Amino acid sequence: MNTLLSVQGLSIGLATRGAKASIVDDASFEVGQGEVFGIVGESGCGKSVTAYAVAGLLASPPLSVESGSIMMGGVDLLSLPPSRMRSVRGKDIGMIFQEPMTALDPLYTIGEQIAESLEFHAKVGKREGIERAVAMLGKVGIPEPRRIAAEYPHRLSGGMLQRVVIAIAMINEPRLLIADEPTTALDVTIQAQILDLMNGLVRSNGMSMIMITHDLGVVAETCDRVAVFYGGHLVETAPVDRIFSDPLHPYTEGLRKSVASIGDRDGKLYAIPGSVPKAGSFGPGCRFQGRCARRMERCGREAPPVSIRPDGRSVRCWLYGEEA
Amino acid sequence: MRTYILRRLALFIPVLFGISLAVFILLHMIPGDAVDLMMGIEGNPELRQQLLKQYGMDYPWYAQYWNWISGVLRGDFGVSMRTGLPVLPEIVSRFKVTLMLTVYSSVISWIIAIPLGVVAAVKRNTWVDGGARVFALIWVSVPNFALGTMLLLVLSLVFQYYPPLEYTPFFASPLGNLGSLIWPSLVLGAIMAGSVMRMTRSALLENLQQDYIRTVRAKGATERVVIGRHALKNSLLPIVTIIGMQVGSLLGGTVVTEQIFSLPGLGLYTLTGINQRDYPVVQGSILFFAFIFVIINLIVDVIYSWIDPRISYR
Amino acid sequence: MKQFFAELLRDKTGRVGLAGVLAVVVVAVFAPLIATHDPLEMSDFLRQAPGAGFLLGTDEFGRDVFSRLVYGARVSVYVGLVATGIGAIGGLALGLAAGYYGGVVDNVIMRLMDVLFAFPSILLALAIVAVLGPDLGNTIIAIGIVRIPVFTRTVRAEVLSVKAQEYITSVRSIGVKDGRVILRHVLPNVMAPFIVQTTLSLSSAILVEASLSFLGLGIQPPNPSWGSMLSESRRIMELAPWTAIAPTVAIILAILSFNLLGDGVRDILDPKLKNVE
Repeated sequence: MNTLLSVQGLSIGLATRGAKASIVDDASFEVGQGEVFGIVGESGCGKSVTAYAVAGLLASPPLSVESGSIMMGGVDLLSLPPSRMRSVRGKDIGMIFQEPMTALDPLYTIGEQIAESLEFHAKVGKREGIERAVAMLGKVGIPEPRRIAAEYPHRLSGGMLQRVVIAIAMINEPRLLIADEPTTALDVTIQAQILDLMNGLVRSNGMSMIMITHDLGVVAETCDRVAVFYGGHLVETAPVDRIFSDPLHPYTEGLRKSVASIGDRDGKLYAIPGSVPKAGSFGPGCRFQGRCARRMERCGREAPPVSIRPDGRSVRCWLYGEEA
Repeated sequence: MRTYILRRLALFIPVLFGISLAVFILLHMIPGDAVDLMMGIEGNPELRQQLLKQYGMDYPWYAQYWNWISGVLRGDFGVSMRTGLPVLPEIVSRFKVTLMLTVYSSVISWIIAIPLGVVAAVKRNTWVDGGARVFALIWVSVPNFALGTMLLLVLSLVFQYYPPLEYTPFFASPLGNLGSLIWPSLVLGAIMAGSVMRMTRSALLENLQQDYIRTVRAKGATERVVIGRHALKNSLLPIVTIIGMQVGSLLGGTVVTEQIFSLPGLGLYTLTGINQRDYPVVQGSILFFAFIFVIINLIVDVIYSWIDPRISYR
Repeated sequence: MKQFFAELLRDKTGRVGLAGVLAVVVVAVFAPLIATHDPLEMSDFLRQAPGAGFLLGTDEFGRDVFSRLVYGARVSVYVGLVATGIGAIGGLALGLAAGYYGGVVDNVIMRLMDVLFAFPSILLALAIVAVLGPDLGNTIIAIGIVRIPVFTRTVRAEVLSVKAQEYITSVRSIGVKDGRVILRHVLPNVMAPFIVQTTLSLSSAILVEASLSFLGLGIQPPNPSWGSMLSESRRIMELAPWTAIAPTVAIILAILSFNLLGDGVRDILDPKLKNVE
């Protein structure tokens, strides 16, 4: 499989009064062509920030990329001047957001907002733009696309709006789609529809997708490979079936156990003890050590390096550090 | 939309009616009426009776009110007790001056304030922003009569320039009209600019943090489009609100400005009327002011629905 | 309270504003000690430029501009405080009644406020002063009345949002009397925006007073007020610019200080209003 996106040694900092906190520290991963790549973790673990960095949409200041590279199609996106990055954004990289209800400008029609995405990247007349927007609305499963194109966002439901946001992201047929918790704000019944829609569109167009989520169910349903973030560290990457069958990192194992399966009627729900430390308040050593059941003396002294396993999986843990 | 406007206008009728009654009662509480003022110190009871009769002031107040308000409904605001001229034509001709003054100063304030507010928001927390904010803060603290007086002082002391004392109507000579209104308009416009700029800046900053801006950026939009097409348009609602309020208070503020620059506007007319206890003049012009105020509010609401599809009036 | 002042002092805006306001108040209170001359005394030195004898020069009647300025501060502070007090208390009562009782009471009060609000404030104050006669007391009453609608609206809006909260419903449902509900439960919640509005109103009241005395209403000559000093100076300001500049600077600095204090207080008590004009 060809690599589409390669992120190497990415570190992102947050400037607060005087000090600089590390939000993401030395994260490396690759996304293949046509691959759906999941990024999972608790809120505040750095997963969304990583994706926004890829799209060049970090809120800067206070956030900024400290080091690393983001290669796509042989170019380091981080080295691109803002004007070049703008022509990548929306064209090669499409984005889908968490809150469809606030993701659209209330003062423009649905059709105008989809057509706008075309306008920035190609010479498209106003009428043609609207026509193509209507066609795209049909593709994302909106009934009566012509009527909806003329509506304003406040007249549509959350599920419909998320379809519109998907239409905006997909209309330029980007090579990479970044979805930031696309179903979190939706009703459970709508969630599956939206996931199916995205999956279908991505697969049939041969696109790649980064799916950011805290929901392992979503991961199991959509992803090929997964990266697990904890406290700004990428702690493990693995194919999705292995994450569930054979997790390496103790945190991944905890995550898996905390997903209730229908079988366990008797037991209580499992929860990883403790809570995530605040960004920037990490001491030396492994960031998960405070909550880890398999903590060793070494974990408190030194941060574990990333080790690549023979099967290509990577993990950041002392349990595997020596073998690598 | 049309039914909405008509309904709003209908709702204003009781308000205007209340104002007319309030003004009337208020004026008739004034110790010493116009007749006293006209006659001076030495009282001649017979002459007094005659004058009272002439102005219809020998009736009880409610009858006088009825006489007046029924006239107003027919478009007859009565005659000035001082000049004997009909009040309504005078109000209309003087209102034109006040209106031109309001228009010029509003345009001046927008030209200053909106770009400045946008720049301050975009260059947030830089020296440009800091400078603009301090400027606005000081500016909103300057009373228009103080600024007007200082302007006249500087013009005369430094440039040996004295604004024309004669007012040139717009249709006589547009340029001459601008010439007679430019200085007072600058004063009022500059004063308005402070709060419009503050509102522009804060509304724009708030909108730039909204989710939909991120969506627009994700499409690959330039900052120009992000701000001009999306953030600024969404900021227009609060900006229009404050402009509406400003234009309203501007109409009142013109009293002082017209006094300083001796412009024959409606404010000065009212002030003179108050000082001379010229009842028909005061009643008429205050009612007219209130009417204009009400119209401005209505226009602001219509502009709202025009900008924002979420607001619909039925 | 202590914490409030600590926060106010930490905020640069609030600090500068508080210092300015204190300065104006101190000048007003200790005017007889600070003034170098009798503000009404006409000396033989007419339109004397600022210098050793007369700090800020003299006006067309030979009166000391500095001393008149000092006594003028009294008028501004006095009118500002009392007029705002009238507006605040009137608006508080009306706003509480309108918001709490709703229905007819609300309608009558708010329509009345609409009527008051429909006037440009200076014109309204002008008309009231004309009715009552131009003097200091009547100016204060006029300015106070003009401020009532603003307070009524602020208080009413807050009462409505407090009333919608469940705990008020539950207090009322157990039969607590209206007066007590208002006093014990509604009023404390209304206090923050009310205090913010009060502070912000002080500068408007001072501004309207200066405008009225500029127009010759308000405090009557020969007593000094900043507005009337500026108005009187217009006849001679080309010969004696200091007579115009001194009151202008005083007015602007005073209003600026009260505005800054108002902004500072608002930022602390009503953070959601921060950045919103």
